[in-house]
Amino acid sequence: MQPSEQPLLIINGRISDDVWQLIQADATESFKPESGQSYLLPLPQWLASAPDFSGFAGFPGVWINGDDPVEPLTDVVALAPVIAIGFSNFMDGSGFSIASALKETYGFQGDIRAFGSFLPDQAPYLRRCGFSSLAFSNAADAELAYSLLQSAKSATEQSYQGSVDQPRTPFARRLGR
Amino acid sequence: MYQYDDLDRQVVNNRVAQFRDQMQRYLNGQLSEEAFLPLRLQNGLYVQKHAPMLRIAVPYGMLSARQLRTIAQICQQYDRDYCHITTRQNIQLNWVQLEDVSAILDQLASVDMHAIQTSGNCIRNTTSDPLAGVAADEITDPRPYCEIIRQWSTLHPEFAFLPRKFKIAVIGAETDRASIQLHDIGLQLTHNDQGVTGFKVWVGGGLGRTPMLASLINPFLPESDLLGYLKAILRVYNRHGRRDNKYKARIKILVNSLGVAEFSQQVEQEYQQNYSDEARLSNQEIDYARSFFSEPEYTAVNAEDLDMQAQLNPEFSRWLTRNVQPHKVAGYRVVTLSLKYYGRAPGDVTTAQLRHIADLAERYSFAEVRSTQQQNIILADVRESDLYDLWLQAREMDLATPTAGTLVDTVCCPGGDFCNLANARSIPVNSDIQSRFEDLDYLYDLGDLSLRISGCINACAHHHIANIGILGVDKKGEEFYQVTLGGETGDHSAIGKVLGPSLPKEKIGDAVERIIETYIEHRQSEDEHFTAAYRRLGKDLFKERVYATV
Ligand code: SF4
Repeated sequence: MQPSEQPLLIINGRISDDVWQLIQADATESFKPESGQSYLLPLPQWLASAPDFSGFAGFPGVWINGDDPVEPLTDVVALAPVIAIGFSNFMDGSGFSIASALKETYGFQGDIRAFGSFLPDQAPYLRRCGFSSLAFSNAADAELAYSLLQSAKSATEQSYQGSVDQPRTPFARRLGR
Repeated sequence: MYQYDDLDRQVVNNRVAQFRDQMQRYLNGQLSEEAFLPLRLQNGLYVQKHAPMLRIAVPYGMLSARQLRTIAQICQQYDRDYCHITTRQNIQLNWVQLEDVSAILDQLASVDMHAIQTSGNCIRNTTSDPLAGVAADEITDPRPYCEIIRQWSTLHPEFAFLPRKFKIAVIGAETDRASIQLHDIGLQLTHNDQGVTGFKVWVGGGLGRTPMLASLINPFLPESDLLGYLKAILRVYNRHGRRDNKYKARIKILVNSLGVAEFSQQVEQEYQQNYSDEARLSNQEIDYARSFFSEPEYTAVNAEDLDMQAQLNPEFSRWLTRNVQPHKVAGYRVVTLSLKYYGRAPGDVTTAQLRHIADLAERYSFAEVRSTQQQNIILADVRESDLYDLWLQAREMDLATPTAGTLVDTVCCPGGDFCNLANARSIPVNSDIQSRFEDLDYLYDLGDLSLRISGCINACAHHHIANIGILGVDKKGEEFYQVTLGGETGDHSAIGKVLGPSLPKEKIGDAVERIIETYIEHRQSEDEHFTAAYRRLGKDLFKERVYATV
């Protein structure tokens, strides 16, 4: 999962530049934080440094791959402001469950970000599974995802499940529960 | 049957609009083939040999007369005047044009139908007992729960990109007429000691390359916890199921590799961790779902002339014996309209037949029908006093072939005639076998006997669970067929065993004849069923006979 140098981000429904720099797993040896820069570290690296992040401007975020175990994140959720989940392939939907589990099981309150290979068409589902930011490597995809998210707002409202943040059973609302 | 409300319509209409946009972007070249693939599959659209194929969802097999008429209209307008009932109770259109798909979806939506999740790696149509609500051995009607599962699984944001397809079946009777153990999740309604309604939960069944029966992972799941528990199973699968190998991606492989105990434990943990009130089904919701499936207004009638009609008319009598089953209410029967007319592909139904079936349903069965896994149509609530008239009218349209449950009530996939994945054709093999068994007395003498033909290892016709299964295989570009014997469905579900080396197409009809002869010669009595005889006699006797002559 190799995000481009300058990913575009949809965060809270707006397109913006990404301030988080993702450090690849093979780049951690030589890595030295620069002052004022925010980083996303590979999980092992993050855990190795925690809880003392001196030298960093604030707590760094963490990134994992969709097929990584989430259990080691237990210690992360309280401190990391961002957990980024990598999609190796848009057919691989494990990230949808990881984000949902981060919310439901771990009560993570920070930003959950998707990066890597996913489709703009998946943006509305990603959102409903708890992703609050989506990193795209090209502007066209980001813009398409943005417009799909706008038009999907009513579709989320008009869904059987709601979202991870506001789940419901199919008939609950219709029966005024 | 369930009636759509505003929300249901909005969900379908939103999906149609979304799909129209995706299709438009694809046709304009703004959406790549690769990216369009999962999006169109989630909406039931395959690209096959001759034309795209659109699979329409028939939730747990329930169809209204009005829906049948719309399907007929679509077949006439956009297809070649027929459609196909699949082994998962859905409807397939084999000859649609890509450009017409959005318009077809609009027409479907106008009668509360859609093609959502009829293919792709997502949760598919929930299947059920074709006799739901009318079977005498029913504990609880499964359909309200099927409907709840249908809604919950429809466009579920977390489970649209699973490792592989995912199938759920629900039954509410003692007898399993939906082969729940062959599904990714099988649910059987039951009551516990306190009288609470709940489910026995099986996980990990499936056919394909590695056929497996599901394992019981929970002997009693209270009904209120259904959706939370399903979510837990799906989440464990979505996170840990294999994605590196298509043939190892079904949940059965995960259950098998973890072991049933470990898998169940992981599900239980996931379930406990995320237990929430919002996921619980209230009694009010369940009652509401149930309200759509209350009994129709049965009227007691006296049908003393049925026996006499049967005596006077042997053909009617045959049909009564084979195609009519008991009903839980005295004076009513369940009728199978056969889609196995000699010389036609099993499960195919023409525009004219669809309209005729709609008429019959309105006249005789509260304007509803069911499609079955056996690729037939059932009228579930027919008065005994109407049977004779119904039979006469069904016959007019070739819907009364009196062979339900016999060898020629074949289940057959579209195979090499239509399907891209096929190794061999299945429809001509069926025609060959059918033509060898036209003698009804001989067929009846054989009793219940199942034959299923799949054109490749994807096993859409579920050949593994047939008493006699036929599988198309590819041998250096030639069509060959492997025969399996001894498979069974339902309460004694069993997977058939391969008889021997695969056979060329010309030999397969002979092979079936030899198998049947061996059975007839060696059965202990007419009551000894084929599989019982097969188990007692052993494979070798059949094998020798078949391969001695080829
Ligand atoms: S079994 Fe194979 S050939 Fe037959 S419909 Fe399924 S995929 Fe196609």
